[in-house]
Amino acid sequence: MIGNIILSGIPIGCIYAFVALGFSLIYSSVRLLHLAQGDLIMIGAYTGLLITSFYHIPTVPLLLSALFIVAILASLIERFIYRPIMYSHPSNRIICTLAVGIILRNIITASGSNRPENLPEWVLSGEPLVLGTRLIAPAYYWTIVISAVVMIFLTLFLMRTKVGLAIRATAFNRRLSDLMGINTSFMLTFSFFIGGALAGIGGILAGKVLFLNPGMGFGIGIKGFVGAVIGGWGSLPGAVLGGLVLGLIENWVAGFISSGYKDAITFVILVFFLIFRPQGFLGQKDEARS
Amino acid sequence: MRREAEMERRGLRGKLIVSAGVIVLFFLPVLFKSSDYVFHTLNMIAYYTIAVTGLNILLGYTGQISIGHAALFAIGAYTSALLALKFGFSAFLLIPLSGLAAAVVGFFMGAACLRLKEIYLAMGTIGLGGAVEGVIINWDTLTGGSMGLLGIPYLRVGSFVFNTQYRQYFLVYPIMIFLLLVARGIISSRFGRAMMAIREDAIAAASYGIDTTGYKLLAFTLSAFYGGIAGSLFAHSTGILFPDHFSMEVSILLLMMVVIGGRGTISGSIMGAALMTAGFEFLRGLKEFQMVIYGILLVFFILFMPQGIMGSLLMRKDRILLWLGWERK
Repeated sequence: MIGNIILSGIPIGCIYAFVALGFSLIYSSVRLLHLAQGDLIMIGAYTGLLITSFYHIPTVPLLLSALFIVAILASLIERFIYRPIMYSHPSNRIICTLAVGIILRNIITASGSNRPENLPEWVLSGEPLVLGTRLIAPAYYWTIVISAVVMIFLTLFLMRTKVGLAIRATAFNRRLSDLMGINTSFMLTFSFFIGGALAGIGGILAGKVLFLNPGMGFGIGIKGFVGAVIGGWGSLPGAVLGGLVLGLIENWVAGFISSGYKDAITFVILVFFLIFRPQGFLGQKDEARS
Repeated sequence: MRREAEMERRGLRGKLIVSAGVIVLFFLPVLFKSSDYVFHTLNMIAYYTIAVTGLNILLGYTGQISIGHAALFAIGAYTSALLALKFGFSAFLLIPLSGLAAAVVGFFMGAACLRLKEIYLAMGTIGLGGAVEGVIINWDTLTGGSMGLLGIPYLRVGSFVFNTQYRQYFLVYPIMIFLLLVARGIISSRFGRAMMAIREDAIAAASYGIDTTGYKLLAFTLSAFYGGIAGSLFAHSTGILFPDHFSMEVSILLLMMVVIGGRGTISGSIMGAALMTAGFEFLRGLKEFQMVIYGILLVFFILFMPQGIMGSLLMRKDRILLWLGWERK
């Protein structure tokens, strides 16, 4: 039982971690609670579905193309919708992200695919992995492998490259970074580009692990958001940890208590953390939440 | 002296025109013998207006964001429906009781979120809203769970039953106008001024001796009371309740109505509720593109009217009055 919970919880946790990473990254650089992040995952999954329905391409090019398409979409959204209201009232900015979510969700619904679908079998395929007496489906272990690779690459990119340093500097203090000659305007769009790229890959994985439907993004978005909060809002390792923990807790609740409480428990955890440990597992203390 | 008298006369004239306009608007659908559908839409506007006014007291006047307001709407609706089903109370009892039940929950929500600010408050209220929705879904012996609560009786006063949309119209609108007047009274009293001081700068307000904690809790409680009453009226109008009626989408919708209508204006609450409900109905003709266009319009409103419709109009009040010829240069 425990083994099953861990084996099915981790891949779902990885998908939540992708969303949580997007939330944290975008919040720490643009200071925006980007509630359309889950819908970008959904767009990623449908991009995969669209591409695979025309071309029989291998997994890696598929991941890369979904990555770039969603990343470019996210940058465009940032540039033309979020940028003009950057200094607007916080409620305006939150509403705007929600409205973008509504648009994305309903464009997909309007294009006629509102029944649950799945990515074709040859995406992320392979031999099932034998672990003792259990078989692990290829989609599951590929999800774990790809997540690990992406997260290592993201960490290396942010910590070891000049552009990564510029993004971290912009997140730390935008005005100061401007004075140091960093093109902070570009860096803000670029953090959305990375957020979109994460959503693109996460979308393909979500398309294999879960069912595709236009409303899926909303639920995944909320879960990823809770993951980001419990891991530590604004902390990237925290986001990954939070996403994984949430995936495991959710499966544990579904397995041991009742699957009806799966969603409710998420919100209880969120409130619990905000009240008793607002900085999450790995976050730093912040004036506005304590 | 004469100038003051002139001003007062003009103010009185303005009030008379507005009151006459309200009365005419109120009876217009009655005169034209509109269909049930029109009255249904008008009633929906009234429920939303009440709930949005409550949220506006919280967000617009006190500056505390909430993305969990559908939970309070739900508490009001389920309280009212269950009391009616189990005890058969009359409308006089049901409506205030459901408001009170929601107010109690709102008080605890506010107390739980007291230390959170800005986006953390947004997160906390999302969590509480979701938790209430979870309770409704899972406590199915009481609420019917996701199968819904069916057969909720209509509101009644004595032997008179509000069993058509037309009859409900005459119940809902007087309640709405009464609650709007109460809200206006609160806003223009010292309570309202204290709330606005907290919105502008909580630390400065505290240093002037305003009990910021107490007023934040008051704002939460008051807005929950409004939400509860709206929920009660809604429950008896539809006759069935599903958890979906109170999901996070509804919280978002209420928040959007406040922002699109105008934060911190009572007229903005009416405008937001009316425009978004009616707009949704008008866009029905677009079929599958209804929600896409709806979303795009929302983005446009936020980009070009960041203060909301009424907020933007009030900012240009002098110019508009001049243009209407009401005010001389």
